[in-house]
Amino acid sequence: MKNYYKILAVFLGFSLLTACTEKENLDTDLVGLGGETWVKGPVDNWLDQNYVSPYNIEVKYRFDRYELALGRVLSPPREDKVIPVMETIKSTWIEPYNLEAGPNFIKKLSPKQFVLVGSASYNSNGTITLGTAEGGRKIVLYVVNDFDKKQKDEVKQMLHTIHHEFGHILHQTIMYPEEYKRVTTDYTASWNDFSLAEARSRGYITEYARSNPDDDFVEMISIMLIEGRTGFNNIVSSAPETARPLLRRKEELVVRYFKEAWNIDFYALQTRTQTAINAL
Amino acid sequence: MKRIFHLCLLVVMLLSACDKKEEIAPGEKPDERLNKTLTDYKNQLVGAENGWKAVLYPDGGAAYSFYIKFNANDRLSMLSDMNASSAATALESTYRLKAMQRPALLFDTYNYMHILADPDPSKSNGEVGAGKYSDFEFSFESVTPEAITLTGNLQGSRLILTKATKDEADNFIKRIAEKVKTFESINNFATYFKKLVIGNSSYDISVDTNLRQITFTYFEGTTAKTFTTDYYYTETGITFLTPFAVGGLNITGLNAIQYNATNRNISFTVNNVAGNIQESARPTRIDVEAARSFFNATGDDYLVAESGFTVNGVPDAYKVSSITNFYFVAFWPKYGTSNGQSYDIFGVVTQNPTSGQLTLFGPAAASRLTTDGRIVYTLLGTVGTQPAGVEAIMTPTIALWTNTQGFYVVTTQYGVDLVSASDGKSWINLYR
Repeated sequence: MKNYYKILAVFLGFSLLTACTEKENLDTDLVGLGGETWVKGPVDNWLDQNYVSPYNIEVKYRFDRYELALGRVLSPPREDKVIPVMETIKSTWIEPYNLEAGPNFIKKLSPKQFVLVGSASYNSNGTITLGTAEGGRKIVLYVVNDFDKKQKDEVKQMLHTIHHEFGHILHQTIMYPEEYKRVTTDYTASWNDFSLAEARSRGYITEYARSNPDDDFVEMISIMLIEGRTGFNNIVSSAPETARPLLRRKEELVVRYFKEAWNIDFYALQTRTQTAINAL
Repeated sequence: MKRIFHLCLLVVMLLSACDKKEEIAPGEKPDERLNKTLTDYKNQLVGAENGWKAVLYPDGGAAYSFYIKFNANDRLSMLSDMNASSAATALESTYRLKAMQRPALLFDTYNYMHILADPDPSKSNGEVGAGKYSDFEFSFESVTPEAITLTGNLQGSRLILTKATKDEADNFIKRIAEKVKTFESINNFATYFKKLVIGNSSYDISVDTNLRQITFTYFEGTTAKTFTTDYYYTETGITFLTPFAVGGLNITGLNAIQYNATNRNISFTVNNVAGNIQESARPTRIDVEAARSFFNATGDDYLVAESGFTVNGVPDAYKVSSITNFYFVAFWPKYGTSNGQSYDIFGVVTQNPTSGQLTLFGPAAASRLTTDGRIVYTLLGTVGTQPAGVEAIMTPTIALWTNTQGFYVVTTQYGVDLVSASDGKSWINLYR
């Protein structure tokens, strides 16, 4: 009897040993895995040299619906506009920071993706969107097809978005002084119901600055950089008298923040940005 | 006992059996098949050595022709019949094939095709934020060696690619562009009425060359009817998207079109029957009903003109819209009564930019309906106060409005057009 069990056990063991394994090749070529590829042209090479390898910033110019609002009517950019736009951004945003804050500053902190769109994004309320940003990671720039670096107002508009979003990254990395939030306190979610003059009279640099302290802070940075010191002074002096000290106080805090948090001389940065914009 | 043992052995043997060939889903994996499909499509696009003829039917209407040469380096060059320069100068851009919901062909940087889909109306001549409801991202619908049909992913436009011959590669768009130029010469006609004559029939037509739309006016009894269809250009003429079938005629398009600049007419053939489109001082048949209902309007409401008269092809020839603070012209039948005589006004409305207040001035005239269906205005006087310095604008406008020949009344989609009966070369568009 015992023998039977033994023989059975041996057979069982043997059969388990011989049970086969099937080798499956899990390394299949999944469609689209690892991103899309295409034969690189001069534009791709230029972007590689100027954005991808030095700063690890991807610039998407070939239309990708999944980066954008799905139902919107949008146009892709013209190829010949890509380099002029990105060259302008490089000279007016990246380079002034490089010179004032050292070469690693932008590398460490920049948003990692730019998406270019040829047309504006038309909203149902009749307005158009010129730029959007998502969480300090991705910046979408519209109306690239109408880009002309001689149109200073439009260039400034575009830089406004970039400086605004970059400002968010800065204060999310190192917070700005707490007292900034108490310079003015009447922030409101319905900021868009009020005019620019109204916002300025209450000590906000733009309408949107009234949205919340964070946006107020980055709007200040953005406007001070794109308008330059003279332009900013003009804005302050054209504001009602009661608002001027508020704007000046905010200016002071921005300048102090750049010095204390990042060891950057803000006024020098401002001058370099202005020189770059004027040189376009 | 022995039997049980043998049975157990058998079970154990069975357990260790294995079939290595088992496959749940035989054949290639979906990803492999998808990759192969995309590669095949690309090879087919690139492999056509003379490139492709393409006709794009935007969801917004009409159709546009392209010639596209796909290159292996993910780039293409394109010509289009959209305008003279897009037909003459090839433009390069990029494309890619991508597995989206279905295998898709994406024209992913701007080229002529994208003009139709541009949300900026100054580029597309279409609607704000929508363009002409066209596409530049397409899914493959059906593929044969000679033709590929695609459907737009956003708007559902249709794109049909057909393999080109060497001759077509050189001349397809060139020949079409000549026909575009020929047919768009209709915009040089000075008269409001354009008469299309074929065999024994004639129709008034109007053509919107931007939308590629043609409208025929015909009569059922005494009632004027219109038929509108989109068209597109071919190498020989134009093809209607919907054929015009009336009175035993079935016009699917106009072939062999030729423009004669001296006589200002366009000749064509339909099924080998010759015809032509010519300038006409008067309508093929006067729409008496339209004139009567316009004449009988009660005066409760006015019509609006955005500017003054078009004369000899010049819009607002007397520059009514240049009057300071000009807002619109209120064309007001039976505005008031004077000595028992009701009168109409050609009221120029201005708006004070600060107060927003509206002011009206302009000539007043009695209107009458002639037996053949014309409206004739006889000047009675003026209403309101004419501002100083506008005589040069108002004098010829008033003279034209009160011309003794009067006007034909043409019903349009938005209101009526009044067309001078003296020569058919002056008119005004009125909106309700």
